[in-house]
Amino acid sequence: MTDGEDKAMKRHAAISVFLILSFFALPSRGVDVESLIEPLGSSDESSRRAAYQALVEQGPEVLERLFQAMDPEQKTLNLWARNTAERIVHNAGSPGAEPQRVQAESALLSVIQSTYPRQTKEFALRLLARIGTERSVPILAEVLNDKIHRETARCTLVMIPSRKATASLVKALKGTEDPNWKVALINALGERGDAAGRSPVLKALQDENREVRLAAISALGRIADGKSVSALWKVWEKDDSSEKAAATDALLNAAEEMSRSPKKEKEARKIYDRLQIAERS
Amino acid sequence: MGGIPMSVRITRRWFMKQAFRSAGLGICITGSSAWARGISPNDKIGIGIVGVGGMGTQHLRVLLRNPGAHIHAVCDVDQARRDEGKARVDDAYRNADCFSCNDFRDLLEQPGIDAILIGTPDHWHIPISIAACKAGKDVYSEKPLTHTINEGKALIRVVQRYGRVFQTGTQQRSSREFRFACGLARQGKLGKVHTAELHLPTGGSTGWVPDTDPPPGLDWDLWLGPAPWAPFNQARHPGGFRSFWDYSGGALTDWGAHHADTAQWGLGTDDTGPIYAEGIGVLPADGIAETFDTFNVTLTYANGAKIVTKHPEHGVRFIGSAGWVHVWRGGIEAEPADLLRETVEIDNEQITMDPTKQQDWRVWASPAHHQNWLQCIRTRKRPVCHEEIGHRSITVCHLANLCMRLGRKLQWDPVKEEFVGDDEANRYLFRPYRPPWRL
Repeated sequence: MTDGEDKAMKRHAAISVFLILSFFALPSRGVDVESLIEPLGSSDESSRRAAYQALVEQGPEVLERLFQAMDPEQKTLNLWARNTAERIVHNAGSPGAEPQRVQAESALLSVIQSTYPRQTKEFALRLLARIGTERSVPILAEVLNDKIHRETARCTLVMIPSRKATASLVKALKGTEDPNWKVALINALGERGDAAGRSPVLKALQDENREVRLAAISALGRIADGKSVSALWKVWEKDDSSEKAAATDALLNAAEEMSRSPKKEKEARKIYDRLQIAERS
Repeated sequence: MGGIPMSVRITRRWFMKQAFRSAGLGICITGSSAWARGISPNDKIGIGIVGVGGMGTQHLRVLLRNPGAHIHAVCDVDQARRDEGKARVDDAYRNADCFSCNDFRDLLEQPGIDAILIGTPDHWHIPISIAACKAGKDVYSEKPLTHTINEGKALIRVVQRYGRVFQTGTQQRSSREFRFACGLARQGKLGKVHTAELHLPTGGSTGWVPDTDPPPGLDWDLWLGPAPWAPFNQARHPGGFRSFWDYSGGALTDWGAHHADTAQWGLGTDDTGPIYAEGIGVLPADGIAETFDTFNVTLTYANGAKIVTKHPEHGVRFIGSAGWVHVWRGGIEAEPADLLRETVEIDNEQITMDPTKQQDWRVWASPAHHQNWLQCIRTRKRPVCHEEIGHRSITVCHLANLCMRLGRKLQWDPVKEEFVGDDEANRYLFRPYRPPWRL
């Protein structure tokens, strides 16, 4: 046997071993997952817990199969499929588990884009709030147009640390006339406290609906930058007592936020000084 | 949520505090917190009660017996409970004057109400507390005080900004046995205290119940309030809300709120918290309950002391290098037993369990939890379980739940009140409210 033939043989053997291992490994994983789903709904508690543990160890690749198993009519299976999915997502959110997080995020987005029952999609949206990243934003922005799921999508976007999440909420706010939905979106922008969300909130100060105006006042206190504070002073100077009081509270929130930054301490001090003068008079 | 009545003024003390924080300099303020109405010793304190179910009714009974308080109004989203609450008050006062309403915002606008007591499900404690403080009311809120850690931070800001008197309903602080046990721990009578065991009941499971329409007379949307929308289910109301994460933290924040508060008191950590949380929780085997059935958590403080959860006894056991004391509702044990003959000092008060050394319990700062609150409303002092203590104590329970939910050891920074190096855990510090509610 020549050296070349020897090398070819070795390569062939290695490939064969890989293929054989793959043959057993991949199908056995599939078989294992299916065989573990049924015990999740078993009346025997130890079987359920064993299946839960085994599926958790499989990681995010079994997430979609777990969502398929979430049948509200099969109560125990539904409960344990949810418990298992939640644990897998939390594990994927651990520091240093980036590949698992990416995989879990993809699986959740896939569920959100598919035709699952309402409760199942809602559950996927809520799990996405825990680990979602900028990659989820375009899909969540679409869900903001869906009246059934938009509220949960809004809450999920609040949690995602990305300017694109702010932009999607801004776009939704600009596109709605529904005062209740406006309040929801303004509250979300306030929660995020991102100056990129300021512009439509400023506009909402002029809204004909009082609740929208009050939401905008509160949100500006949390965005807490110079332009927000200027707008709040204008509200504060008006005669409307409820808006003035809300503006006072928002200004104080802004001052507290600003006082955490050495660069903004002077601006915070100005707010305290002016409100104190008003308090004395 | 509505704005703040213009009659409510920001406290001078709060302004001073913020000014010092902001600029590091003192400033001259001549104004006063004139808004705080003085209540003379002969005046009755006007009370409104929000939530008159199980715990709310117990509070109502206690306050009806208190000569220093007068219940003007009751509020509940469940009409049957509301009507029953009003009937109790009217029967006690022999009139029909008690105002009753579905929405707490209507109660806050009633004249004559100085303070409110909150006995609602857990997820409502903070939204109502904050609205009440902004409306110029003093507050007693049932435990667990908060549903998320950031709710507690927001509450502290509002209570202090508006100069309100706030009491958390962790009444073991007003118990002689618990006070004594904490005194033993704090004064070194147990040697170096290394462990506080929280002995807690299990959470149990809730059987499967189908969703239905809400029963007549129940304002289900307002019951849900800031929580995500969910169909009505009898497992959630009445009474089962503690099995669901959207409304509660389960057994750990229910009884844990009491015992973690005692542990924090005895360990001398009222103004801080653990730095690590680690544990395993077991989910209910079946039914629709979500919160943990059993749990085994260890929370570690910067000085090495630990809080450890145990089932199924009740109470708190402080274990030190020279002995232990175990205290529960109605009893106390110690090893060596002679520890129970000690006289200890805690919070500037001396206390003994020795029957040969009788003490006048009534002269202590908090002979009874409601009484302490009412007294502080008159004096404008801070109650024994004020907002910061309540927040720090329940934070211990939230950390315990979170390390189990996330399935990993968590590092906590008790100064910044953030998890260290764990973005996902930090997302659990708050939750967006369902509109129109906001924090």
